[in-house]
Amino acid sequence: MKLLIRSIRNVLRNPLRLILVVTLLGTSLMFVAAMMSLSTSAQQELATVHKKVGTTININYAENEANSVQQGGGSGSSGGPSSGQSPKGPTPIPNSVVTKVKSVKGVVSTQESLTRPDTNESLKSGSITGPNGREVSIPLMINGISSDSTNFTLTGGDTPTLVSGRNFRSSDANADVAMMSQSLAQTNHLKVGSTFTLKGTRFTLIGLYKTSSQLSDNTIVIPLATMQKVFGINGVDSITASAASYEQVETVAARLRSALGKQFDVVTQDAQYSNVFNALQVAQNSIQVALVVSFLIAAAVIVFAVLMLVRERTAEIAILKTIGASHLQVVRQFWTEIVALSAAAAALAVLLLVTLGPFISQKFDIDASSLVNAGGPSLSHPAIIVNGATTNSTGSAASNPLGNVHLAAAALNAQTLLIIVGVGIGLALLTSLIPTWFVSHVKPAEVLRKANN
Amino acid sequence: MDTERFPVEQQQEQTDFTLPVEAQAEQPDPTPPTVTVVAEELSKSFRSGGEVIRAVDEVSFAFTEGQFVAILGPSGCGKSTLLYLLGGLDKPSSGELNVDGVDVKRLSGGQEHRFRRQKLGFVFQSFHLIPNLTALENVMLPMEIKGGISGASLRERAHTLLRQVGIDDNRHHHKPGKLSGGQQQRVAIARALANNPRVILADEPTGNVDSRTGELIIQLLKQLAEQGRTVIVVTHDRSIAGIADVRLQMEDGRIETMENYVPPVNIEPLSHKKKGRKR
Repeated sequence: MKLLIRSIRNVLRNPLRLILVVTLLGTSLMFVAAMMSLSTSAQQELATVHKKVGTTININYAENEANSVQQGGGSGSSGGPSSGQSPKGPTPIPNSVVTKVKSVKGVVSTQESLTRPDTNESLKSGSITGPNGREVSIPLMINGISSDSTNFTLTGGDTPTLVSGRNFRSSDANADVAMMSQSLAQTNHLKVGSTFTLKGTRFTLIGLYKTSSQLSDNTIVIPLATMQKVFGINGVDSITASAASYEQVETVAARLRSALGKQFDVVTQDAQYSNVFNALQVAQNSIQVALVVSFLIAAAVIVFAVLMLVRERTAEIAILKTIGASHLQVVRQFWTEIVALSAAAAALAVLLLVTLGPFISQKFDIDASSLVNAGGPSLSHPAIIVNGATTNSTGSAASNPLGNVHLAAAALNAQTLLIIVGVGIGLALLTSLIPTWFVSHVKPAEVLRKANN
Repeated sequence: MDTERFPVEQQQEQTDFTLPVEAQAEQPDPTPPTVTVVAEELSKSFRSGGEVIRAVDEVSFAFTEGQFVAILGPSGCGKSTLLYLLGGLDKPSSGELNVDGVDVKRLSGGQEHRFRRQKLGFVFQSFHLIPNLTALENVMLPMEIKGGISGASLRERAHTLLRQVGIDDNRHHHKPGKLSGGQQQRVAIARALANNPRVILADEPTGNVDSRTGELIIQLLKQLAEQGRTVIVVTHDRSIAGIADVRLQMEDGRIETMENYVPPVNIEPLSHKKKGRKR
């Protein structure tokens, strides 16, 4: 009869207590794993959100200023009608402002974009399927981006993936080159190297990309300077100014406000998404409280189980020692029993996590899209866009970069399995150190004397 | 050991099982028996409420292989404490103790365990079997703790020992709770014999069994002594005292009388041995 079998049989001695201990411990371990997983997820999401929006600053025309500029005849030349903007498009932010923004101390980079519809219908546009299942034709959009942009977002908020040809280079700044979606190229029988005419200028197609939305598919991307030249616009719709780090955003924003004056609204993304940050922070705090409570319950259950084992079996331990068992043999037997108990609880925790993990995650999750502050960048004005998330002259909906911020569901994976097994067995061994040491040093004579009395 | 047999059922029929101890003493074996247990001025004191209680007070004796020794006396006279001292379960406060060549007083923690598993077998009044192990597993346990025997031969030896103490095969896989008091005590004796010790220490072995079963247990212990072991029994039971080779009467931690006690001729005083070693 091996030590392990003997230990397992000892664990099974009191089935009712075994069920109670395993259930309590298993549930606690499941919560520990779920909470650790959710905590990690919340931290990652916070970091991601900070990374996404934390270092960027939006600059708009102030509401009144935009109107006055509009009335005074802004330099915009084209675009669809939209509230608070010229019928020809939103009032562009002059290039001189872009230069000023770039020169402000602490601004490490800027990203500008300009979007206008192709009113000349130079190319055949695609169509989207409406809610009633009917095909609806949508206008072709021209998107001007900095030629040194390596990552940009299209109208509709989609980030394209290059599938053929190449991206823009710095040397393309004033070149008549363009990129478009694969589907738009197919609609117009174009391929990389083909040429097409837009606003009287002949463009060479240098790259094809794919997107996941039909709206984004209907966009032609050209260098910003080229677009300004072709459309005769001395400005941009949007600027993204970035600070070096999340901590510097407010300082840089203050400098920008000072440099640009009241004519412009300088809005940090942090302010816009403060509810999301707060919600994530609250979720993380709740998760950490739940984690600590679960951990303490797990520890208490193990301590209780170990103390019960020790208390009940002191006489048995004395007998084992009387017949020659060493300290180590006694400790080994007890630890094997405790590990067997923890292993059973860990198995239950795994089962519980698989079944209840998504439900628990749901309770701690946040809906970032509903938490974004209403006072964000106005859609009616040219604005700085976070990482290219676009507001545009046609008033198409800005994509919310935090729309997909969700805590990953606490599911069974290598990490949670490791947490369950590691915490379960580690906690068991740790909390049983003192009791088992005590047990192993039981003096048989004293126990036998008490038993005889 | 496997060839040892205890004709238990036959012995139940016997009425006179006392051995002629004195006659044995009158006809000494040409080769003197080996001395297994030697105590010299052995004492054990406890402190209780600021008062020092001498539970065992300077007792001295020497026993040889084959002797069946009964330690008698009223409750609290120090019998059990003396037994625990002999078994290395308690440390003596003073004096010398040697069991089967081992200086018990100077054993370290690890050596104590080895000493108990190799040299001694214990039998208790309350049997102290492990409740969730079968009779067979209880007997196997000391052998497992000692190690060095393969699983199959260990099991076979446990079966043999249980048969020797009169436990039928169909009860070998019963847990202690399913066995009678007498059967449990016989299992405990089989467990005590598991590692073939030279000395058996029994604390009131008939205290929790009926008189008929008690007789059987006494016979078993007597048989063990006859086979060359030193059996030391702490008891109130007069019938045990009646068949014992040597009877020690204790009172307030001291040995008052030593009936039939003949000091072994080949004993060397432990204090002399120690001095010799030091030199």
